[in-house]
Amino acid sequence: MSILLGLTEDGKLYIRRSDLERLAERLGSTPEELAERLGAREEPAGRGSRFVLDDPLGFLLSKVLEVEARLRRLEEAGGMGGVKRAEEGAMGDARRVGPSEFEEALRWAYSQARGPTGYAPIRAIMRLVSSKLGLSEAQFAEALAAFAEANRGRVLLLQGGDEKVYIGGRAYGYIKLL
Amino acid sequence: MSCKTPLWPVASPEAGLAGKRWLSAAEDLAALASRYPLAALVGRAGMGKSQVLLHLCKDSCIYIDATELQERSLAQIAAAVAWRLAPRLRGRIAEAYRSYGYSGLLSLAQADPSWVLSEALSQQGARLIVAIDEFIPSAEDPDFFRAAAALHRLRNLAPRSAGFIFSFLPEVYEKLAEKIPPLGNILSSVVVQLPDVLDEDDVLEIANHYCPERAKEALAIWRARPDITVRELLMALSSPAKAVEVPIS
Repeated sequence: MSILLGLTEDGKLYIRRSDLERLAERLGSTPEELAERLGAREEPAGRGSRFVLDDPLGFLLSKVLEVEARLRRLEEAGGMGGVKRAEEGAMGDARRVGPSEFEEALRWAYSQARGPTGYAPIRAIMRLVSSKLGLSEAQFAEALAAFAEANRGRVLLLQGGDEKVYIGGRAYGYIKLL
Repeated sequence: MSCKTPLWPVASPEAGLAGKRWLSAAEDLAALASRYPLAALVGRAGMGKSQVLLHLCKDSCIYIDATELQERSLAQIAAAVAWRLAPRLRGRIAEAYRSYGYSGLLSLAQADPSWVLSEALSQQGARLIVAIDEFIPSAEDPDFFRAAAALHRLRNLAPRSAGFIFSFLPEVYEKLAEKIPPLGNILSSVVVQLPDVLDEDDVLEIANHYCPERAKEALAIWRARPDITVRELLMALSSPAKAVEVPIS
């Protein structure tokens, strides 16, 4: 989906009404609601209308500050509870977990998924850890790579398996924690 | 220089088996195979599964490298076993062997694998160990379920005069246990698992077996790479001596 942004005669950014309608429809909103959230005002243009952003830079800055303040409030609200995780997930924020928090979740997931040889399918581990900590696949891979590097000889990764996860340039299907 | 580190460290009868835990695994497997029709040896790639099987097969035993088989089926196992025992056999199997060689045995086995296997084993007399290596070489093997079906058939056939030992990678064993629980459950009672990682004693025992002069170097290599496999360690020891970086924590 592409949106055409234009400049008015006096150098302000504008979005055509038809584009804003398509964007609003995609976001499950109305053009008027979206215009209000974007800080845009409607003005006639030719036979239709357009939405003009009077101060886009100021608007972006205010939004950044608003998000920052919201995050601070959530952090102050206490720990790394589910509300914060949900907020972070909804905002697509890069979830960061500490090594000990990751290890705890990893060991719990491993205890749930390991089989008779002591190896566990890494996909199952990833699903359990990610659902517990609210991590994306990339964040899980990054955290596991760091954990494996810090615990060489105590984390074994096997390359075989039907479902694999890429860690440090290699695809692995099973994991064992010693 | 008394080094006999194999330059290309894959299993061979000449290389010999080193390491107490590996010798113990071989003994455990021999005990299982003398009691049960099926046993399993599980170990990471490069940790010595094939060498354990070859050690076990020094005496009265049939070792089959399944990478030589055209396909992973009971018929192929039956034909390979019958081929090794053929000079001692009689009746239809001996007739097929004399007339058509291996093709005759395979043809007979394809028609009735269970009968060929049972007949060949019962005719040869004393209890026999049959070690089958790399029957399912990877969890992604396209013939995985076909090979698993052959294992399942062997489990049900339960030949009285032989103990079959199969080697598996951990991921293959895990997949078998997950996808075919009846097979996984019975194998879990007859499995021997090789060490996942080497400890200091293992490294010294292995190094002293192949190249005592480089035992200290072997320890340094292992300290730098604690998850190193036996094969990787032997590869490192078979290369010309060089400085090894040892992390100081």
